[in-house]
Amino acid sequence: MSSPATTRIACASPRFVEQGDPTALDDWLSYFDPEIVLLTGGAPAPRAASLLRRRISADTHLFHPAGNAPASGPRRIDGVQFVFAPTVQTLREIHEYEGRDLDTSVPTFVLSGLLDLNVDTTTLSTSLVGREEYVSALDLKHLEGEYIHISTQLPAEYRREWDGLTVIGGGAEAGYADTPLVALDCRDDGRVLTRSLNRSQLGLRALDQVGRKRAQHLREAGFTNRDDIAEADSGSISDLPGLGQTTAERIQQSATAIAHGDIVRESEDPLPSGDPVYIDIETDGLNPTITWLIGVLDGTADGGNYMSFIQTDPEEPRRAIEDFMAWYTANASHRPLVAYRGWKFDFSVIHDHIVEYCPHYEDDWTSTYRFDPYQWAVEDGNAILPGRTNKLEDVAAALGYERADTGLTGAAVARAYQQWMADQSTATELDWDRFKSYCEDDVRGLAVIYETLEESGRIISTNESSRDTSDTTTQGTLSDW
Amino acid sequence: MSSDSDPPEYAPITARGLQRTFPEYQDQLKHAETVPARDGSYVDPHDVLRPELADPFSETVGDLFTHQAAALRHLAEDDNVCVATSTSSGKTYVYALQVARNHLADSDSTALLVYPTKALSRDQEQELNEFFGDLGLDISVRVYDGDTPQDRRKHIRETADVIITNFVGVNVYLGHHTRWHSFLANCDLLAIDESHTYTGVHGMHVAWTIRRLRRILDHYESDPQLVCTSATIGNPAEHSTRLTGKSFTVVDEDGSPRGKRDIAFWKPPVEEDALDPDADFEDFREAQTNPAREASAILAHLGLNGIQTLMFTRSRKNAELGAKYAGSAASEHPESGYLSVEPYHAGLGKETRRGTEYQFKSEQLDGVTSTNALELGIDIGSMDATILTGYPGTRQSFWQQVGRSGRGDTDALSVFIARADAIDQYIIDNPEYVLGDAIEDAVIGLENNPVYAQHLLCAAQEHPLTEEDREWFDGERLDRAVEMWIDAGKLAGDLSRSVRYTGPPRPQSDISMYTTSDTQFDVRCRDGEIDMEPIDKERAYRDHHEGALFLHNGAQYEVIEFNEDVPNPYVTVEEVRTNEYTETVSEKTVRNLDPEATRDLGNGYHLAWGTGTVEIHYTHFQRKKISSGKATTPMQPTGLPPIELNTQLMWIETPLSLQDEILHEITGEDPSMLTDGDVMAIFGGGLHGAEHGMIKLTPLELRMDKSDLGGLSTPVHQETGVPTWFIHDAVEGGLGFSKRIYEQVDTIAERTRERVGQCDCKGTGGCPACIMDSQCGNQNRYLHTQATVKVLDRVLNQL
Repeated sequence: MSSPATTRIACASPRFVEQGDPTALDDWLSYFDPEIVLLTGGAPAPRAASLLRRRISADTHLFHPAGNAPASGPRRIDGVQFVFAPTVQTLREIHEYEGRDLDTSVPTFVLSGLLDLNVDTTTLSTSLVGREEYVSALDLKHLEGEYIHISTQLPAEYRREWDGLTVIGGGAEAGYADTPLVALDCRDDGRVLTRSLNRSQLGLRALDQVGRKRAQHLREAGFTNRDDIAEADSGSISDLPGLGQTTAERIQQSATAIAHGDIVRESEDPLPSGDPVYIDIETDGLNPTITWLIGVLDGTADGGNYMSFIQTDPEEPRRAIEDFMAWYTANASHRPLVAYRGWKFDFSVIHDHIVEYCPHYEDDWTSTYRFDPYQWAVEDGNAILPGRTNKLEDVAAALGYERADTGLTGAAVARAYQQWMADQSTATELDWDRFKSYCEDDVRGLAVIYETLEESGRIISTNESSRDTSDTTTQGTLSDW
Repeated sequence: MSSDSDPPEYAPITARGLQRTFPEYQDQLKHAETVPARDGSYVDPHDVLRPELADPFSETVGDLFTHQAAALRHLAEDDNVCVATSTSSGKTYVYALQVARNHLADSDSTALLVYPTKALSRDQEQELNEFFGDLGLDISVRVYDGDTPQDRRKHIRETADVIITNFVGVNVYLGHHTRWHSFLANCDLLAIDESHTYTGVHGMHVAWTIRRLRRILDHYESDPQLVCTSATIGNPAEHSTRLTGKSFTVVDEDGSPRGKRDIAFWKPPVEEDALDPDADFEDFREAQTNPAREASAILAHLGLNGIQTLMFTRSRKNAELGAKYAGSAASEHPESGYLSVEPYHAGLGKETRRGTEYQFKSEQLDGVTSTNALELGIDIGSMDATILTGYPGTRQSFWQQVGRSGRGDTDALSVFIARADAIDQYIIDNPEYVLGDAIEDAVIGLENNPVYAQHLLCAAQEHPLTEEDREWFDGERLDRAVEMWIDAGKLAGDLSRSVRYTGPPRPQSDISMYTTSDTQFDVRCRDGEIDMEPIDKERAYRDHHEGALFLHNGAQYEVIEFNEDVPNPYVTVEEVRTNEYTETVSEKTVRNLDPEATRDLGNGYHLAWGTGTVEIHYTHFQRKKISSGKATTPMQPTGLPPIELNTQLMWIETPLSLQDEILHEITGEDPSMLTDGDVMAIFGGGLHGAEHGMIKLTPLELRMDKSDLGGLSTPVHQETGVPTWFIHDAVEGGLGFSKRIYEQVDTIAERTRERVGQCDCKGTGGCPACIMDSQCGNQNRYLHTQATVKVLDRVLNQL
């Protein structure tokens, strides 16, 4: 099965471009490595546009729909079809492009800034602003192809069908304040996958202990990128105001970790003893009502045995969890359960769903020893992880782990299952094997991280007792409110 | 401090005594009322409680008051109860004993008690633990709120029998209710203390939070009994139902005892003869004897006569000034002497306040001048007299402040001093208003859509929405709101199966319990702290633009920065002490009227209520002296764009012919000969005065602040086509007040007409006591008292 052609669009707001320091921009571009850069915003931003033009490579397309002289018209980029539509006029021209520039047997992505959302809580109605004009210019009845409409005025996570018009958000406000930067992977089968990156994970700010102010001080002192810091004299960093010896060390180690793809141990705190049971769950979204897949790895990243506890029938939300708990209590009950960001997601979700669907397992669950390497390393400060974002896939990739390309993201998996839940038919039924291997990818990546943590560092302790009650220090505090 | 039952007539502890003895008396006493003593009515606890509770209760507390017994009987019959009696009538025992009953029936039973403030929560935690200890019961009571340390929380959730919290917390905790599942599954009682405080914007948020809470309780198969304890309000049953969604039995016959009390209604002298008939707002202010000085003079007089007195003021500044004035008044008094008086307010340090409380209790002080910080709760012992400088805003506060005076069975005196304010003057003229039985209604506007929509989103996150949620969330709006959020990308699914939340995590933290829209301004203090909730955009534009002066918790602040252009808008303020205030000028239009209820009054008069768009442009402001109202700066621009408010309004339409009728009646001339200027001044002035008057006097009927309303009047409105005046809710989405005015327009219009008709101000421009309003965007132009009376008469005729 050949992979579909994919073209990546990196979206950014003018404010991000204008306010971000140059290394942040380079970093962002190198992280996403996009074919298209989409500059959002409703008004021309010539400064942002020219800043971008100077940084992108010659074969990267820049599209600024609100700009003064925007690109316009059909494009075929890396096998995927686009129409750059700065104005409604371009939409009218689409039916001319059909047959000539556009192959109507494959989907086309229409990029514009022409659709916006107005949520009016006083009248309790949401409207798609600009829809009427857009639709009448488009004249869908006379078009043969399939079109997906991406608008820079809509937020990146937005996806909706408005009366036959498939609308997707083009990253409005991306990179501004708390809104993450986002990339849209547009595939020639019409699907779009989103990936995100926080602004605070770029440039010097990706380093541990470095926030906005420190990044500024470091830049002013002549350290423009992470490699500079990794290679510098440790004295020259700790000499800076407000930076003591320990902090300077952490900053440097962090730069080294990212530059060389290493884990750096910061403490002598031991990892749990006992062979870990690695888990990763798939649900129906960030506010899940069902944990339908628990992927479990028993053994090593390379050779361990992967099992899936899966519930394909949404009407029976308890099965996957019950089967997993039955297996665990019978086979592995003294071993630590390991999940990446477990305390932020997996462990809480499983707990909630046990309470909801199979409460007889609650005591068994609360007496498990649960370990979250992300919390241990990043939040408790026991180690510095390579990969700038601390996301599982980035850290594992930085350690050399290669994923199979399932063409899925966490959000896409959740959406797919949601569609299956809403209407169980052959059209919506998931390719269960594909999803199991997506989950397996994550679990093996987790094992790689854990194993590297074990190998690295100064001392590995072996005197931890094997079964702990629920009130140990690595769990508990974050789960309480 | 006589203990005679009939003090001699010359002792100032009675109203008549005060009148006779007050130096240079100028006929200030307008009315004297004696409230007779009342014995307590008691019930033997054994008649109501089982012996295991009745015995220890008898020993440690004594008998029950009749209202406590009645409430407990109703609770035993599975009713929800609202206890609406005075403070210190032992309302807490009602739900405490019910908790005890539930515990004896089932030791796993839990109860949730919600208080309006954290301070009250902690006081009650201690008292309740002691009480249950006295009853010999092993019931643990714990506070769980923002100040509870993280490492204690899990333990409290899992082991406490009674949890005390507040609604800001409840809103947040519902977001992870599975952590609470064992507590909620066993919850048999939900008690809401001081429930009358939940009105207006905050009340709406609390009402929806309670519905979400009950929905989750239902999810854990729990349906607790509800107890509301409230001060006296006009509509306890209705309010409790609107707040919680359940029906209540009301217990409001107070069985607690009280002593005899005199209330003096006192009007400071005004040098009105010196005023022109054309006097404006500022001139009036200057002419009136400062009520604070008058109050201090009375304080001095009482103090020198050995009567320990508490004086309530409207601001911290006046509390401090009051103490000073009292001191100098005492030395100028014929019985010249030394008076020990201390001020008291939240701005003073804790040590200072404790010191003052102690000194007063031990009778080392003759008097204390305080803000309403001392209205409830704090124990400074008893005193012989209280002085109220101006009407505290509601009848409930009035009686609270009056009720502070009195020791056991000795006599007590309260003196109410009217300021130059419409309501104060109304009360002086019509004291039965406060003395009678009727009390303001507490209003909760569940119709507000923006607040509803926010809570619906949270509910979806807590548990997916289904058809069954029509019960909790108002079936009629539910479909529209769900569709709106689906289109906005925050919800997914459909009600026949389930609608799930798909937005960013923790939507509960986006809810601000004191504002309606999602554009809120944080209020930050430049150096120091200000304990103020975020404000709505409307309020920010109106009262907190750059350069504005405002009062909060009795202290004065100036806005030094107004920043809207950031993701989290804010204003920065600085504490100041000036003797000025700021007055803002605005232009207003009302359009897109959509009437939802109308009354045809006949003869071309119409009454309507509905929604519309109010566009307000706060354009300029200037600073003025408080004492005289004279401007101290020129008009300065605010720099603000117009603001649009989609809200609820009521309006009154009159026939076009009214204009000529009124003009002719007042001028005696042919209306067609009058200039446009005259038309505006007279007829326009009449409509304007009616609008102002009704807004100013609505607080007589509803628990609210005048600034919750706004108005507009015009001889010809572009949409109605006829002379119209509007009164609208001042927040996005509405508050329910304009609707109430529509429903009670007869009473409100009547009261307004009475006040304006009786006002003894000269000329026709009105005065602050009738139709002048300090918040008028047009600087009180144009107003015409005679025209106002005639317009109101016409309308009242039709009603």
